[in-house]
Amino acid sequence: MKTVFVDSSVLFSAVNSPIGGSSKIFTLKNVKLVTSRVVLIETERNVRNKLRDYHLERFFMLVEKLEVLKQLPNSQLIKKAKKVIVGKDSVILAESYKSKADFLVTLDLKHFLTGSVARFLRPQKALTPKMLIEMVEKK
Amino acid sequence: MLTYPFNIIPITKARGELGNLAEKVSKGNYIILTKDGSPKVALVDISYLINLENQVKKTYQKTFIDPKLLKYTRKFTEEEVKEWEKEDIL
Repeated sequence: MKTVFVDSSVLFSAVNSPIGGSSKIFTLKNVKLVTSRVVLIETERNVRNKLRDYHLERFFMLVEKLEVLKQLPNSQLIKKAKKVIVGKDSVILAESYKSKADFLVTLDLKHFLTGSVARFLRPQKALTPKMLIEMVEKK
Repeated sequence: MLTYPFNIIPITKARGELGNLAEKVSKGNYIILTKDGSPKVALVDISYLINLENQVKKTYQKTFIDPKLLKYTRKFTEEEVKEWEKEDIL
């Protein structure tokens, strides 16, 4: 079974809307969704600040469907990530790399779906939820 | 005997029927009392209220936020959230 690292853009969007691709990936079979504590903290912080009370309940409900990896941010890796992506996204990129998942799922195409990020993540691949769904449904 | 429709009753009318109304609320059933035509208070079963309070507490007490890791996170901008919404459409 392939493992998929869920980033905070996807988790936040899944909380925000139950009908988008981000929500749909939580219903996929044959993939294992994983994430890190930093992603949970970043998402929760933004859900509390930007969304409504009932979204917080949905956030906790979705987290139950994820495996939360026991990993902590690595400063050296973040430093390396900063060389291939904008500073604001370097922590998440480093977290995804460290997870050793097969895929990183993100909605930030502009910063994550680039050649330099692809080389950094190799063999892990960055995808959008839509791309992941299409890939899984083809099989 | 209650003579008012549904579960919405003016406070003035409820005064004389409070005992009867208290018997009518149980589990999720509640009665809304109005003043000058607007909802003012609700009569609810005490166990329903306690359960509701506990649920709210549970949701708000639960958190993954760890102050030690907060420095690794950031606030999303409105623009990027809008961009994600567009990208998320199937």
